[in-house]
Amino acid sequence: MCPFIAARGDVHLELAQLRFVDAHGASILARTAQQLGEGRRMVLHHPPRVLNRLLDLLWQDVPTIEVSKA
Amino acid sequence: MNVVASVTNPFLHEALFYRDTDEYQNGTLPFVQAGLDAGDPVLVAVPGPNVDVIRAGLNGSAGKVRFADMAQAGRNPGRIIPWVLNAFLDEHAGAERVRVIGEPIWAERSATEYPACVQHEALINLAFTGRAATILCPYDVQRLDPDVVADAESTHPILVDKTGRQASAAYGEPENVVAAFNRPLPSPPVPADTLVFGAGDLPRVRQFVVQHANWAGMSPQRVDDLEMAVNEVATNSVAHTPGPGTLRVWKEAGTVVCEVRDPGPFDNLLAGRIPPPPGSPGGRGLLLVNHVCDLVRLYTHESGTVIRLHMSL
Repeated sequence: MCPFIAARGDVHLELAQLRFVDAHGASILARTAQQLGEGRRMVLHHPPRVLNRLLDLLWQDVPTIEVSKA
Repeated sequence: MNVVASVTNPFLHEALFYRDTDEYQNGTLPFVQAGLDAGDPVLVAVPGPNVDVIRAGLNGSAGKVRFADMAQAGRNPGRIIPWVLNAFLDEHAGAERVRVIGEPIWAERSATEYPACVQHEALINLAFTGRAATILCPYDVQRLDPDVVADAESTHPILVDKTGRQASAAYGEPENVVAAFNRPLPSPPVPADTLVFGAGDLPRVRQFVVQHANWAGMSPQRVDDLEMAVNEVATNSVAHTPGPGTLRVWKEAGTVVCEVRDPGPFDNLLAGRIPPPPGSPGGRGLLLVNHVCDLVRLYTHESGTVIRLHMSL
């Protein structure tokens, strides 16, 4: 995840092929999103239901991670 | 006897023994009112009907109090410390003192739930040491078994009833109380389906759980939650023990029970009760398990640990 932090602009993750993720995996995403810095976001595309649930339960207070509605 | 918070440990954990609605109100309303008068944040987490009793007694002040139905929020006793109490304390981290009325034990609690309830009460004393908070736990001594009242005396340093407030002579070290209720779990009432798993088998573990939960007729969202919860426990098993782990699943009384047995000890009493620091990516698996399950039972002994997750349909 570190290269994303160093890069510029928003980070888009295409997750349609991801079947499952656990609490640790979701937390790594959320922590990375927290460290992106001023004005940058992490945008998740087609996350599995379990990831939405994990972010909802454990990482509600991370405004820099969002799920694409498209 | 006058009992106050010590300089070194400002945390207060008190049991309130009540016999009827009058005693309930006389024991709780002044506690809430004193908190409001002092500007303390106040949480009342008690079974629904008792929420109504306190709300009615507070008249106009009820709007300043946070209420929760403990029969829902605390149906799983393991959920109360992290998701009810600690969440409220953290939300009001700047407050001089936080006041909570928490009623985790009521007459309808089952024998399966009860040991986890007592362990929860004991662990409160460890979890909130040093926090500027007062937690008052009402016990309906009219309807609860005398043994339950005796257990409350061992888990609360301070006892309150209509005659006053005193130190509990029967108070026990939390570790000892937890150990006293660390008992072998009863055999499943029906034959269980079994899967032995190792480090590469987590997808099979999840598939096994989903299949059985679906067969049992569980609602889809709860199936997702149960899959997530069992995966966390099985992950801990493959990450922290030499394995193998054994998963057993069965259905009893409208509930699916998933049991993970492994050869590792379980020695962190507060695992799954207190969140790790925000910067740490690990340590949230059991918090999550406690959030979504209706009951979590644990038995640990020198040659291994058994964790049972109960999820109603």
